[in-house]
Amino acid sequence: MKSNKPASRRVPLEKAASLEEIAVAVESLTGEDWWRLEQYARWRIKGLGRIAQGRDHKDLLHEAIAETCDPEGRRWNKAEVSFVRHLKGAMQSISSHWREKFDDEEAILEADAIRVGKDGKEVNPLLNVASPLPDAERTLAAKEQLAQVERLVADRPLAALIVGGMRDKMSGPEIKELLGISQKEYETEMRWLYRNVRDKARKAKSHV
Amino acid sequence: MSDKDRNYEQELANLMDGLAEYVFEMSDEEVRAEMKDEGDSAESVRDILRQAVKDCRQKHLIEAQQRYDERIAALNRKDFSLPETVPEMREMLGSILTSRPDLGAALTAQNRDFKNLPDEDVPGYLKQLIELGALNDAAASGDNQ
Repeated sequence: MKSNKPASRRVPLEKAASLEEIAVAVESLTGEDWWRLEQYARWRIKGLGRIAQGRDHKDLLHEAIAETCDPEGRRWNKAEVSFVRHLKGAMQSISSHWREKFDDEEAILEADAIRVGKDGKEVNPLLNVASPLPDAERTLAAKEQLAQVERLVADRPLAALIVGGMRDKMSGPEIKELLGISQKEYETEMRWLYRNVRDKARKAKSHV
Repeated sequence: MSDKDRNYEQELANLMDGLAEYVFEMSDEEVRAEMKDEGDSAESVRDILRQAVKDCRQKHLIEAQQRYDERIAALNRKDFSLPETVPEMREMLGSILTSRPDLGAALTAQNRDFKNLPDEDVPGYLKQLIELGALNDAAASGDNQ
């Protein structure tokens, strides 16, 4: 099967780690690495929302390793990237791919629904559906979750500005530069934000 | 930006991805503090990754077995002039390996010990050796291909 990744970014086979080297690398990860990988997978899945379609962080971790072991998948260049960073990159790429695939499939579904009527004009039956479409429901759920975060930071101006930057897909260094804040100030706010969003999500889950 | 223009799903995804980046970049000290706070789940993650590696190994073995089975099936479709009895076939194998030690080395690499080869596998191995060119063309006849 042909890979979806651009050929130029592909690690040459001779530089790719073998299955045995991958197995050794798995055993060599530290407890801190395990925690980072698990948390990274959990937050990426949260970012997918309903697009995850029942997949959880374990599925993402499993897929990252499975693709790393596959010579036609996401090869690991052990000479250039640490194993934990490779897995992080693989999870980032896989979860982004799930999102793109979902969007494509949705577009196809709508395109498939369009047909040519008796008068020769195109008819889109989805336009006549009165109940909310699945994407409208997802939008509503995302809007509510964002509103919760915005309420959380309402009394914390710096955190609110950081959230604004993150919503616009800005990286940490970009946010720091834009706001003119130190690494320490940034980390303090991020730690507060991370813990509060996490606790909020836990509470919401325990109420379900 | 008006509410209508906003892509809430994308904004939420960006926010969660930003938090994913943040947790990944935490120092070991911070991570240890979080682990203490949240409880250690390292073993379950370790198990997921170990299982994934195990699945890959299994998949590779199954694929190798399939390739081997296909090769043997293709050989079985060909018609070779082989001795009629297994002891005679073993004798033929022995003489091939004596004259072509390189082939013996290749088969040793497959972890096969000829002395312990079950009787039912002897014809298959002999055919493989003939296919590898161990005998002159006269040994293989009536090729159906």
